Amino acid sequence: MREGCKRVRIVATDVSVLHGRGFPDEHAAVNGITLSIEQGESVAIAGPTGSGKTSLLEVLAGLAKPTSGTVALEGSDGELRSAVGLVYQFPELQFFEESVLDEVAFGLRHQGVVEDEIPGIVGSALERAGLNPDDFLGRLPLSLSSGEQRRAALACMIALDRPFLLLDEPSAGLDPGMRERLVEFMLSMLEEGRGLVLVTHDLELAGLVTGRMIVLSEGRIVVDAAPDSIFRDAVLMEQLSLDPPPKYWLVNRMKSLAASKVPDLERLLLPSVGPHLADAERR
Amino acid sequence: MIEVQDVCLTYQGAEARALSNVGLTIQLGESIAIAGASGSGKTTLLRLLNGLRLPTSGRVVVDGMDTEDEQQVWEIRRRVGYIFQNPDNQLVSTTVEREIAFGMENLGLDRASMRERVEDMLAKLSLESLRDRPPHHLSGGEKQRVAVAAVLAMRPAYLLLDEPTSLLDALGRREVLSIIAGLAEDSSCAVIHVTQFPEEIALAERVLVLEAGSLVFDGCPLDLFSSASDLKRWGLMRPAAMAIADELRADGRVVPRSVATLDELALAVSGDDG
Repeated sequence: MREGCKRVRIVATDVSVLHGRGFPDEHAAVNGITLSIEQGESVAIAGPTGSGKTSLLEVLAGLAKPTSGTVALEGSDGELRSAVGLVYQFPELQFFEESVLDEVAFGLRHQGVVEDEIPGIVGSALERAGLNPDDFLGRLPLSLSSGEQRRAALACMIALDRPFLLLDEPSAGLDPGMRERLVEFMLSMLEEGRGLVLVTHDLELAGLVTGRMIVLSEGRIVVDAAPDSIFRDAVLMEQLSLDPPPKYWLVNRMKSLAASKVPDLERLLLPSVGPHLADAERR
Repeated sequence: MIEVQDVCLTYQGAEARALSNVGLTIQLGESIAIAGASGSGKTTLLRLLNGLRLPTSGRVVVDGMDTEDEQQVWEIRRRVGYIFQNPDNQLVSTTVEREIAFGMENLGLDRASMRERVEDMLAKLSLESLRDRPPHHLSGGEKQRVAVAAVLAMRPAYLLLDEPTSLLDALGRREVLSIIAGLAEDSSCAVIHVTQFPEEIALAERVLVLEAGSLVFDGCPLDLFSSASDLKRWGLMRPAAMAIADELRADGRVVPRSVATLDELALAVSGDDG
């Protein structure tokens, strides 16, 4: 990415998405949401199932049009869709090529990248996603295990080198080792100054890689704050049927037991509020 | 009883075996977790158990029926229910109610008992308010609950679940896990559950761990979690409560060895002598 360019942001204004229009079950999956996400920022979108997380993500990526309201890319002349890479929840639904090479190359070819450059870009994208190019370039995408498919889908977006990366449930189905590499990968994307938005139930992951968490319920924003402060709010977490990361869960539970030792243990278990809080405070 | 006899499986075009000389027996009444790193063969093993995949060599026998025997395949599928990781792969109907009834219709159940089971499942999985909704309009987690309900309504003797909670929120996960726990207590039913979550592995009576297609562990969760070096190699983690308990012990606090859940840990360290 070019250095010194102006901070780009995705701005959603009063966005609603109606599902099942004209059917008896018509409902607003997203209901009047206004928010702005800057390049360089790392944001988690959480909330109960059916709260509109994926619908919001698709709208922010410019892949779905909101029923009302607008989503725009500000601070850049480019188009929203070409500034954002979206990795879907179910990677197997986005594969259609005969080899991992062609799958990752598809977007590049579509963008008009010359064929000579493609193998190099694809190889390094696979490596960054945690797949050894020598083992995977020739494989049929649908023959990969679900964890490998997830990484191949990630490679498709890494190859496109977009300023914003949007991920839907990126850690679902990953084993602990792969999850650790996913965290490292996300932090490296942030170091490069990209914007990161992840929809996730994995709140521990959200705590590790984001400085801002937006919690949705029934298509509306319930809270938009630093993950640390949200995790400590036991009442809110229960209301939203969310489980905070284990250490927060433990500290919250001890508080409810009215234990005198809590402050001591809290300092031990939750020593800092994470390197990214500075981000949230800056806003 | 499901018998897996010295099974090997190699996918077309792949060089390495997806499963290598796997042998095990599953009895009714058992609650089994299948764990292992990504690509270790967990889903492949699960799919062998109801004949969705056939072994390259070796045999899989369900209640005396070989999964290779095409005559028996429907009877095997009736006894062995399968819940996919991605519910979109198994939802076919226009409303949630019909989806739950779909499998039972194919079994030729009478209308009254179908109604009864549909209501039962709607209640157990908190789906009543969604009963008239088209499944494809639901969220990922809601779809997963519908898929679980539709399979359970057929009352399979063996229930296979491929990471059924990976897309659910805390509430949905608790619901699905309590249903799995209820089935696990039923001696006429066996539950076989692929999962990455150590807390879910801990709930099973027996854990199978796969490493690069080989069965490397077959035992109880407590024994599995007590071997830290093997866990790392197999791509597994201990339950958070056990890991945090160790952290507290390293800080000089006394935490009983019996602590296995976060709730027990909270109680243990909140005590006066901790």
